[in-house]
Amino acid sequence: MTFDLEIFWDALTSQEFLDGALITVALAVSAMATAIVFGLVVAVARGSEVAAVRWAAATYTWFFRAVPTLLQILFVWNALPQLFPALKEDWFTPFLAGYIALALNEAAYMAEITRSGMLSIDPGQRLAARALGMRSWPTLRRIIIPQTIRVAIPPAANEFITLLKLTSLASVISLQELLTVTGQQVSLTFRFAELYAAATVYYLVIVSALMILQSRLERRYAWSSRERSGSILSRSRPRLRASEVR
Amino acid sequence: MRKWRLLVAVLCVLGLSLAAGACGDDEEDSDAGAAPNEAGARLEPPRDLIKEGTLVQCADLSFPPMTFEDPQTSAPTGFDVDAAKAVAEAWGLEHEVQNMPFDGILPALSSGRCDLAWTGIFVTPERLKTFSAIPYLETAQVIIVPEGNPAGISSPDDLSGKTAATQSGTEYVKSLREIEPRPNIQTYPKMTDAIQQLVIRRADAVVTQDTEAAYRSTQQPGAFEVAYTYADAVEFGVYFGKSSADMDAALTKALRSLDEDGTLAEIAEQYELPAENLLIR
Repeated sequence: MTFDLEIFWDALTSQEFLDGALITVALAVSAMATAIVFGLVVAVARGSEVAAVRWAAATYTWFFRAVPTLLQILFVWNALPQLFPALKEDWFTPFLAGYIALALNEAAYMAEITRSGMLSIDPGQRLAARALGMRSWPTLRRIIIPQTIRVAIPPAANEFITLLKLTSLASVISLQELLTVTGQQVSLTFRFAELYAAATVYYLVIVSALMILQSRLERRYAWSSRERSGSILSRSRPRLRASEVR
Repeated sequence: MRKWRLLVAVLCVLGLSLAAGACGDDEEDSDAGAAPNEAGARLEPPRDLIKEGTLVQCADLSFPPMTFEDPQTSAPTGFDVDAAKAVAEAWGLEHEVQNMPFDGILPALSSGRCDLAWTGIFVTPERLKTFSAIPYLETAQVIIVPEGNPAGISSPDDLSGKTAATQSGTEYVKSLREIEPRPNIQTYPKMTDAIQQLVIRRADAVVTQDTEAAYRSTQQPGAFEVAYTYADAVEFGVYFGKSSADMDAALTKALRSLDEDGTLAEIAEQYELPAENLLIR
């Protein structure tokens, strides 16, 4: 049996593979978006003045990084309905369960990435903001976060790519994502080479798109008066509003 | 400097011992011994075995009573395992089981990781295009529901609009997809996972084999009942590569001999499978 291009092409353009890929991407994107936001919250909480908030954030990152992702997914799908019977209904789909588990899990990792980005910012920045009279939230929004983003883009993109592949874990809770669909097609026809190749092409395309997005983002956040002299001065300078200053 | 060298040496030893320990994790040996069968003369084993002196069987040990793990010892057991062991004994070979999830079994057979795939696999025309198979047991597909049949299922069409769970990569998924309009089909890596969904009442029904249903009801009496039995019985077959012409002849002979001397019927009885469903001719 040699490689049959027709079977490969049929698989590549088949509705099942496309649906599987869309579910994979949708799950990864939605979980990552939530994880970025929630991770930022947790990272800021780690530096809070209130000890209880700091402790809560630290416990969160400890717990959700320690428990294996697969166990978290299985827990949300199988164990939670035991505690909350409403979760056995049809509305609690495998996609929703996977989203919750992956978002919570990934948020812990994003919190650490964001925190390391924040650590890389010179403490003088915060002092200067305080000297200007800026309050905490505007300091965060205008000074800390933009600089954090720049440092955090490469590890965050890394996490995103890992998360894309972690979505295949959701096959244990019956989610029909790309790898599950591939396995099912293989068990029906046994054309391993053609079907695995088709799945590989999908993953390559998705990750390539992510990498292009990453490089665009990096360029956008690469302010440096050395590399693009004049461009910073030529952009309209943000003005501080009265509400942002003490 | 010396401290670093010591640390590196310790890490290397640790790494090597971990690697050595990890190899050979999934193989579960059973000592078959080279005893001849009851008929007296030992049968000729096939020549093209992947491992000298051993019959390697691929199985998914989550499908009782055909292939599963003994609850006390975790050793491979079940009708298929015991029958394969008997065949290995008849050939004077050792017997080994490679455990893996169902949808990896036939790929493993293809890539030469086992001599036989003997684990409750149906004989289907599609599979026969790529592999050879010898049928050995007749069996029927069933729909099982929680005791009392709360969803009132009495035929496959009643599954429309309900949630049905089963094992992924199996023929059961296909038969669920044929129902119009489609039920909410959930597929899980193992049949035990699908039945678990029935127990927690997320799934209204599970499509599986009568053998599995019989075994589960001995394990958890009164938890399930069979709502419907599909009319077309199917056959379980022992699969092997098309290129092993030797295996076909040798296996047929071995199975016939074991059937004639009653070994297969004995094994069937042990797992509460009706001996009249045995198909060896």
